[in-house]
Amino acid sequence: MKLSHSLACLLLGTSALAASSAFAGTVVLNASVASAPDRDAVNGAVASFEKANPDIKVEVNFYDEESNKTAIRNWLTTSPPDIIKWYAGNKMAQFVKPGLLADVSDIWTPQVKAEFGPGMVDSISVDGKQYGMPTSYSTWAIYYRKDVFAAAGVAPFKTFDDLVASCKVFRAKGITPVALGSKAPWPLAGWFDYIDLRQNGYAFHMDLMNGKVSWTDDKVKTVFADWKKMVDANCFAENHTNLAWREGLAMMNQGQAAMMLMGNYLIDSLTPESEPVTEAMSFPTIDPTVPRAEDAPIETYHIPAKAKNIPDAKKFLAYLGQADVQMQMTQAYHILPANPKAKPPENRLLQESASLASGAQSYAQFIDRDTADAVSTIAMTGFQEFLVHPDRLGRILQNIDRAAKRAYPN
Amino acid sequence: MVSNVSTNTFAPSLWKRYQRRLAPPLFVAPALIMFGIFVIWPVLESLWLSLHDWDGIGENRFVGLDNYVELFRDDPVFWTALKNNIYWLVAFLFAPAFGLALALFLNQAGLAMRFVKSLYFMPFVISQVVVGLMFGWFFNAEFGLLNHILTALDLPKIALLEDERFSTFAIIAAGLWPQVAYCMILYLTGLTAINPELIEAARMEGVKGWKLLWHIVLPQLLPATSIAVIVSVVGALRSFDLVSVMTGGGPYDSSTVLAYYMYEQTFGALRIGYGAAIATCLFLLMDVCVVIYLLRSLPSNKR
Amino acid sequence: MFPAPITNASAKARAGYHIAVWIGLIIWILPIIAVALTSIRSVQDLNAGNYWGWPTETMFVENYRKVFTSSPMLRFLLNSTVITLVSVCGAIALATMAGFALSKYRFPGSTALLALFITGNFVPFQMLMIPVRDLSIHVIPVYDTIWALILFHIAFQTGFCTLFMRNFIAELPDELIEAARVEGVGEFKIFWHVIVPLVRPAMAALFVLVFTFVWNDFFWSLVLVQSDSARPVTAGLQALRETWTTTWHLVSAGSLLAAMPPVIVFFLMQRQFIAGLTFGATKG
Repeated sequence: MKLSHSLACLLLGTSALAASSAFAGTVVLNASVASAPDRDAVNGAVASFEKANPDIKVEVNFYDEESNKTAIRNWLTTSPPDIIKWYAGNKMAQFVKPGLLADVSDIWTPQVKAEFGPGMVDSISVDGKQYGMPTSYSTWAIYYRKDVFAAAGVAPFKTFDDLVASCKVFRAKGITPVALGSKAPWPLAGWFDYIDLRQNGYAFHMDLMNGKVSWTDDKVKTVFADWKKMVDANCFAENHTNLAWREGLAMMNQGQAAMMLMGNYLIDSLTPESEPVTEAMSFPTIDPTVPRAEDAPIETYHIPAKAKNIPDAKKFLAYLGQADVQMQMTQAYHILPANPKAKPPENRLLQESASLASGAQSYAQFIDRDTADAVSTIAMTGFQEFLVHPDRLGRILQNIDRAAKRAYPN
Repeated sequence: MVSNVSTNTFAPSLWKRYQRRLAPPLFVAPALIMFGIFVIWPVLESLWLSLHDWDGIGENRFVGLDNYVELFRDDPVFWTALKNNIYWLVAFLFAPAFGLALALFLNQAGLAMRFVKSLYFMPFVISQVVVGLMFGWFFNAEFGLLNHILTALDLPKIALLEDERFSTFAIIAAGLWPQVAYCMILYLTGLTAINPELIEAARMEGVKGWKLLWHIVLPQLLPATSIAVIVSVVGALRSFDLVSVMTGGGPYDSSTVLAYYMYEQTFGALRIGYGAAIATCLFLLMDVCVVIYLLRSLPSNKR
Repeated sequence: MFPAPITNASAKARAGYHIAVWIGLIIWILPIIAVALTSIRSVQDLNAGNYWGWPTETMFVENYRKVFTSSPMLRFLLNSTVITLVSVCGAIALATMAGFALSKYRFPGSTALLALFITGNFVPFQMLMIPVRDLSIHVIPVYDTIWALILFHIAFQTGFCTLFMRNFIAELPDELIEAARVEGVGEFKIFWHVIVPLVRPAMAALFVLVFTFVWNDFFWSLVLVQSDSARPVTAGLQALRETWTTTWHLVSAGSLLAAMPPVIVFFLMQRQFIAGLTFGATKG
């Protein structure tokens, strides 16, 4: 009698415990952050989510971007957290194909889809299903010193030929036209992307990224012919091959270089002296008939397929998509919120670059996110070699093409 | 021991009887197990992986020797890396000579000399990451100390790390700094171990200077020389840290070495099988040195 | 002694020699001096382009404090310390036992085992990289913790240390062991009470050597660890370079902090260090 009584109590007790733990969910978030304000932004979003959902606790682990890129492949294949930070486009697709990301189409209600617009929705969709939530994006522009431009008598560019012509003018005045640091060669890919987008258009560019067009195609060669005009006009800074991009920017901050093509995170590296005299302009036109496209790499959050607590993770993911949350997250961190309803941060240059990018027909994700890693690593190194030795273009393109054929064998 | 016997008189324990036979394997076991798991097994697995095509998360496809064919036939970077490794090897074979020169220079007694010798040795004790940083600044094209000196001497500035012709040599120079320090210490110790009577006897015969060095001293330094050569060879082929920190293999792969190229292919291009093939080539290159060392050391170890 | 002792030369020659030695020393460790100077330089100096001249003001405390407040440098140093000390002790312990077995016992396969340890020492890290990483993720899940580095370093350094210990113990007289056996002392007790006290010098030499190798390791820190919480100082310093791109005084200070411990250990235990470098090798 006594035994069964205590047993009953035990059963009741444990079931009550189990019931309450079913309501106390934990969501593990592995966030990659680039700076202290970024970290604060994530912590802020977590805090407000927990307040709105007292039965869910969010555990956050922070990583720097490079480590995140390396570690994420391990997480996804072993025991992943519930939420990861990653990128849209091909970067996401490469995890969707082997089934490593959870389908989150159910949080993408028609309302939410309408709020974000087709561009954003496409960026995280594969075969009509959604696999993530875009939270922020950066835009690219040519940032330039208006004082240096004025002193040289150069006006903001309308066409690519204007850009090339300006290099001679700047050089004559002892100014380096384009600040550049290509030790990590991805800044060069910005130049390639834009010349290709302006010359051949978004459709061709994406075909090239997806291995449907060969890198030895004539259209690709025209991109390099355009680029060579800049090399011949001595546009680029000397010795850029061993400078980090911020070291290249230092030249522009000191007024010794006139412009730099870069994403809008450059804004945080401007000095108090250089920021007031720095402006942004759109990459100039090459072929006016080609519809305008921009590089706007999008950052996203996803749920791994093997995550332990998918239901609560979905709640958090949906929360991250709200306009007010995205506004709060991007305020101090100087990046643009993905949700068009969210107002961008109060920063002159940031809003300038955002408005320059808006209204474009299509958005590319940047070559290292649009094509396979095996191809982009060879391509970006090739761009670096091309700038120093344009005569080696034939061999460079063949190498990239070989890598592309291996990565896209159809 | 005694208590065991008193409680168990009718059969001494198995352990007591056979411990001289059982103990050795037990002593070796922990080391062997760790070594087996973390060194032996990985070597075998890498060899196996090099016959596959894999990106780490997708399908692991067997491709036989395709990776090697691609390396040798289609990959210009592989040949650049191999060529650079040869440069490293040749340059590092000079390290013992420079080390000997320094050792001879510093082989004097005195309290101050002890301190000085330690300071000359410091480059070896510092992490290669820090060495790479120091030399990166030294060679910097704009404000490096080297260019400062050149400008002061009215000479034109040079950009070593940015130039595909010179970047590898600039890194090798950085690598030689700690390596020469190592060889110097080897020779300093070797010099103090030389039998002084030999030297005295030779001096009394009137042998001195270069002749003394060449005919008497150097032969006595043979053990130190062989060590210096082996560590220099191994050091030359291990040169990952400096390449990674100073140029990242650039400009455009011109200063890469097999050790770094392998890392890049695995983590950058995400071609795990291909990276394993590159590692295997590096392993084979090192094998030559292992064989030489084994042939030298095993006979004298058979006691 | 070769070359001829300088004490026999004239006072002028002696003076000339010592001057040459000290000038040579300054040139030889110029990079270290330069970094040390930069680490106490002020930001104004750097912005004004005064990279190599004498600092206009010395900011020793400020710069070094900034390193600790603006980065996880303390965490990195702590990690390095734990990883290095545990690995070194582990490797020496395993190697002493194995070295004892391989030098004082004849058993089938002992030569082959010795050859195995020697060969393994020459394997390039790249050959081990992917499998060890996979091991630490899938088999013994220690990836991204200091234990991944500790386990690997113990295992790898055991190769070299075993060879070293084996050579050292081989020199110990067999009579000591025989005498103990006659007294009925068991094998493990012989090891602990006879061998270990005698190999202390070798252990000290190994301690210093392996400390330097493990502390300065960069490659495995990159491969096996991602989080700041588990990063040792070599990889941490490199990661910080990105955020500290134009703040050279911080990078310099950080570099010197990272470089200090092996240097300190070296100066404290010089004799053992040098004996370690030359001993195990010259005997082979």
